[in-house]
Amino acid sequence: MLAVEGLTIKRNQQVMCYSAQLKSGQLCALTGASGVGKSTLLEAITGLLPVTSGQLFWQGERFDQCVPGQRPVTMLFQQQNLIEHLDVLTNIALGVSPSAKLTVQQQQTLQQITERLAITELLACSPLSLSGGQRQRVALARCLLRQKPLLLLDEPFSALDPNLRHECLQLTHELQQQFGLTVLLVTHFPEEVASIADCYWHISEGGHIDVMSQTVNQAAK
Amino acid sequence: MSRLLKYSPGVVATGCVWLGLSWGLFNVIKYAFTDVDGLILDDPWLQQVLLFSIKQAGLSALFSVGGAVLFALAIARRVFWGRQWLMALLQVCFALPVIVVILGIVQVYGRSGWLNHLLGTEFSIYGLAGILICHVFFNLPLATRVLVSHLEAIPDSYYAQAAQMQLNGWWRWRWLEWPLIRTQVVGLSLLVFLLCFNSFTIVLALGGGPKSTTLEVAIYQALRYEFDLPQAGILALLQLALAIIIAVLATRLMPASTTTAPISVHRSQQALWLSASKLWVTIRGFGLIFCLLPLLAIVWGAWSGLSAWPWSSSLGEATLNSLLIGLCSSLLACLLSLAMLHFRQHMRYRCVDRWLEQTAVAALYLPPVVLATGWFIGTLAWHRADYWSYILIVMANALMALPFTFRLIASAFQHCYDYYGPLAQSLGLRRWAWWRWFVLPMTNKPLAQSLALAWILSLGDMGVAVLVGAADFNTLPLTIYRLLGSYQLASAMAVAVWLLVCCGLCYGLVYLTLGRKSASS
Repeated sequence: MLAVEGLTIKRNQQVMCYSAQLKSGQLCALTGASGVGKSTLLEAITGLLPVTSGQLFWQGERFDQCVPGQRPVTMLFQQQNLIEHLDVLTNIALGVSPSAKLTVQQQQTLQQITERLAITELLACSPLSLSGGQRQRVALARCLLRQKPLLLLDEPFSALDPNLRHECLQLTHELQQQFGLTVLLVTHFPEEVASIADCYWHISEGGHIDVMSQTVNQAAK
Repeated sequence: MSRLLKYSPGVVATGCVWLGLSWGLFNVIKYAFTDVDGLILDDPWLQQVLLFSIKQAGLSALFSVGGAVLFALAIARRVFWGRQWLMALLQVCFALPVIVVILGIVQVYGRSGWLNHLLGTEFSIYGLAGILICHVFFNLPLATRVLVSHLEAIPDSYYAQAAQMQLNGWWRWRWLEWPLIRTQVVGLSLLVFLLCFNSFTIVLALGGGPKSTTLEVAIYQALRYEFDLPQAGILALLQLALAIIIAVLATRLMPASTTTAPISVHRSQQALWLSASKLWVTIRGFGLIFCLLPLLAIVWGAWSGLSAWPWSSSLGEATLNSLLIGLCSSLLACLLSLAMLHFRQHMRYRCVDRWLEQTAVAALYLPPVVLATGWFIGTLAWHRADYWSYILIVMANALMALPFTFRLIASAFQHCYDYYGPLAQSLGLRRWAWWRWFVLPMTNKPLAQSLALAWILSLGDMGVAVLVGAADFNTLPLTIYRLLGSYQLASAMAVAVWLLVCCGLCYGLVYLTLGRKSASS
């Protein structure tokens, strides 16, 4: 279970205080108006933003003191997930090895993932030659290869056209099931994730989170 | 008529620059070929001079750029208190008068300097060591500034990814920083090599004897001591050929300059996770001390030499000469830049564009001493009346400042034309009205900056004055050089501080009168 306990962040003049819990293996959609602090929460969980107080737990273990790379978390940004002067394979491999050299085990995992995401042919390409959808799939491959139990997605497919976005969301859902991941997904279109979300966190002013369970969700369906 | 007004200033300006450059080079070549047999490449003296020129430039480039990479990483990887001040100091270092820096460095590292005093050693600064220290003092800040601006241009998203993937220390360098500054490092190395290869004043003042003589100093000696014009011509031609080869390589490899983006707060927070090493603090400390010590030494020396203040009518004359030459050459440089930029706006062809840019920056690559040699030889026929020294120095200083003024003004100028060009055309505002209401108010800040920079550069220049000036010709840097030559270190320090004060006053004057009100920031 992911537990966010009184996580407080000061940004500009705003103070945001988050508290919520999410069961393991669930896919939770984060909703709320723009600028209310959805991305801020994800960045704080990842460790990219410093927090003033509060605690983070995963399966009962506190991790808010760890540096980003050592947290049980991996994050996919809205855009710019790739380092553009390195090829696709290096971009993915850096997720698990700073020297970009993979063990046999890791190579096998990589192969499975790239086949699943249909990007095996792109491994030698430069990110600059890829389409938006391909880039996000490459970035997703890196997240999956890192095998962190928590996957944070910050409007990962919002730059794609509706059909492609729907496909990518379905794929994410399947991968979540296959790898047993716990997912936090920021979205501006709650209806688009209605079929895959187990629950919703609706964030409002000051970081207040309303948790809506899947029963509400299914009732809505 | 309107066409004539449109094109003539630009054509005249570009023509003047080309005429000046080619006239100087022509004279050099003409004299070099009167005595081609004089060029004996297996002459051991010439070989030694050539070898030393290349050796000192190579080592200077190695230490300057190598040090700059470390220093730039130490600055760019962390946000720390006084960062802005450190960057400003680096900019100041680059614009300081050469002779003043030489004095400061003699005071710190010289035989009876602070370092020897502290360590109880007898290290001599004259020769290769002193030349290297001086060259590194000027070029390390230059290279550091360029590298920091490129490191800061690395997207925030890369740092966010690096944080997630735990790319620290070496690996961050390997995957992020090195691939992105590699071309800059190569280009900068060549540029610094070229600047040091063309450096004259430093070698003249600190090169001890025949063992540490460069081609530039050999040209000067042939010209002013032996009055051997063919020999000077041949040496100048050799210098020119080598400089052009390096310049071509450098322009090929050095990509266009980028603007400095302020480091974001977001980045700083991420960087905190990435590096928290005492190593970088140490490197920053060393860099700061290296840049600051000579400056402190000058102030301290001037304070202690206050009793030896060499105030005299000749100092007044030198001050006046320096200020006037500076004013004329800075005005000339700015006028040339404006005329060339105006021309460029109306001749929107790729080739013209490139050609104008190359003309403007030519003086950065051509050795000023070679040009001045050519002019000196060329004006001999006019009995070298007094005013020729003035004219030649003003011309040379304006050409040396042109690369900087042109680039400083260019982007604001372009912005003005792109942004307001159509509006002004629709309002029917042309020529003077266009310049008065649009161009001058919008380029006012960079214009003031260029004027001030060109003035300061000219105030500090000594090489051309030494070469073409008559024996009794006097400027502030020349006064310092002569005092240094007669071991009156305290008096030299006092004049050096006076020169710095003049630089500050000129800068302040230009800034307060021209740069204060700005239409757009």
